[in-house]
Amino acid sequence: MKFSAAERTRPTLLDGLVVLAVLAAAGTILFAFRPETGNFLTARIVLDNEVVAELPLSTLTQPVALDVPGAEYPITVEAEPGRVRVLHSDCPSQDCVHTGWVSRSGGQIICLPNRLVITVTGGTADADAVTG
Amino acid sequence: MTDSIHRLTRCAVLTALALAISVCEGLVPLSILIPLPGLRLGLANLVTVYALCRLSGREALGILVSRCLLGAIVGGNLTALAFSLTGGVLAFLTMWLLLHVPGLSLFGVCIAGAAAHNTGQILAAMAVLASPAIAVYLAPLLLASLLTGAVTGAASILLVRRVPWGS
Amino acid sequence: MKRFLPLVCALALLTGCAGTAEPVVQTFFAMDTVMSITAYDSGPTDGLVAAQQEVNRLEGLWSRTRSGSDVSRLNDAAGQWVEVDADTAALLEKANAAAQESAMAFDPALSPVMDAWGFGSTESETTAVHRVPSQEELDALLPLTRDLPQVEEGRARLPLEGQALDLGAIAKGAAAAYVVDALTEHGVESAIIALGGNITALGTKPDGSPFRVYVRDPQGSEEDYLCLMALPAGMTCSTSGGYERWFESGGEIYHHIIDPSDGYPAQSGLLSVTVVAQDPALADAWSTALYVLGAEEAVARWESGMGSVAGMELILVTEEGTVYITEGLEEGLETLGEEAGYTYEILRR
Repeated sequence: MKFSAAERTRPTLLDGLVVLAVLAAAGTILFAFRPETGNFLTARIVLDNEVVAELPLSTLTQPVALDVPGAEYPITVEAEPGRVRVLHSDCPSQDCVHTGWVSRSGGQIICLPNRLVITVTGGTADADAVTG
Repeated sequence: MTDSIHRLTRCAVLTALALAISVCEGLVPLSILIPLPGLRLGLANLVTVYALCRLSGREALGILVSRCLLGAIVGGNLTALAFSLTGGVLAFLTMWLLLHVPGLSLFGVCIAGAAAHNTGQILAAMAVLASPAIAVYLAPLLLASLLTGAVTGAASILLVRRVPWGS
Repeated sequence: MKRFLPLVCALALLTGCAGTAEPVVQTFFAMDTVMSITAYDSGPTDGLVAAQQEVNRLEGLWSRTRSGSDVSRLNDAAGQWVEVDADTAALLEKANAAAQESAMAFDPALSPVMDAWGFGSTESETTAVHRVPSQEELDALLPLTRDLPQVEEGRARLPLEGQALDLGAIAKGAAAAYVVDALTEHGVESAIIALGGNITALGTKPDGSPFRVYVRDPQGSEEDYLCLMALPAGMTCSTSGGYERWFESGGEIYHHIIDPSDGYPAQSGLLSVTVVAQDPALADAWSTALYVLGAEEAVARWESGMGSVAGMELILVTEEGTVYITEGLEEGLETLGEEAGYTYEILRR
């Protein structure tokens, strides 16, 4: 017979290597395509019921800081790849600053004194709303 | 003269067999048991393995391409040809290469073949849809190919030993 | 590879669908909170605009801080009869019923005490000065909080001078019913309505599955959740917890849910209460009432099979980290707080 492989009836050690190689390939693909937290996420900044900015969180390569124009209390929004937060606000309650980073679709940062809301949309949201 | 007719007949019979197997396989889709798009046992690969071992690489490739072409015509779906050809040819090349590696058994060859076949399909799908995200489907398909490859491997060992047909 | 084609087609369809079925979100500020309505129907703009106008109209009736609103006119003329809108009268009757049934754990006339703590009308929240009132002060104010407003045909009255009404704990829920009507009238059949933590499901998602709602972890940060639950069509969930608003004084934490019986922040052993009910106003009012009443009383009322609470589904989070969830919410529930130390228990009756 032409090939030694055709003579064998039992799996060999090298067969095990083939299996390992396929497993490794599957693992690599799973790792490379693992669901990213910032999958096409967008942060929409609404000031007094008007959209003032949309930050594409997924396509950002470096942090950006944005002073929201027209806010009653000066407020700075910082966006990084996949997440957003209020870096600084002159508002009295500081709730927006304390909220910290928001990275999930559907997440919100609210600055009531400024009537400003930052909503993260896009990606795959597990839920349609948050109570509490 | 008789020799070439002999070979041609063998190729024709094997092509018909491969076509029949792949049509039969389509009648009992494995994806009913395991809901994974693109999953199948790949029994038609048996014929490729057999042809590689018993005939030659050239003939095996010929049988494979004829089977894919005929399958597309029988099924009346030419788009499917892209998937079966890329998968089939990639599997063929992988198995042909691995058969030259000493120390492997047909188990390893068939597992690698099944994995290569799935990779080829996904590559074709990525090209057709221009969407690299489809690659996620490859991971579960690769895992499944360990199983389907082992099954076809076991079957091909029996086939190649018990059907010592030709030279 | 014919088998592969359905996948290809399905993928192509999926991407196609995602483009057209992108929901329309309307976010706006009203009633001192953020409201957002997410509509899944095509062309929902008219409905969304009508809904927002409806909320604005109701705020004009029920706001405590807007002069000329029904509530501020009632407060200004406490002790005298005041003409009110039919919607206000209906809400007052609903609030009174919840107050009576909860043995005043929900009290729409608690304002004088709330103001003493600085938890009063929320529009001044940003400038509010939180402080711990003295016992004498509370003793003087508490008698003003025990009498409920009287409602007659087209008019209402706070019985005592010095009384003040604040419908903040029921108005947002009540508004949801009007939002649903406005949306439905304009043909919107699938929407999730979030009026400051009160979530109402109008219909189901376009694929027929129920809307899913995260319940916030009362001890966690912004993105920590206790569980994920399915909110059936037509239902509203509402959550109350001391973690929402509080201040610290002398090393003690004082939160904003005041127990009307003693005028102090409720110490019922609960961290948060989530109520799922058919009537959004009742969901809103009872989440506060049950927080004040405590887990034992809440469970007893639910188990009794009688009264408003028996018709609701509850999620009660105790200080010990036990989360009691009534059986009606079990389907589609996903618990998420195990790592944070929560244990979950399904209540059955």
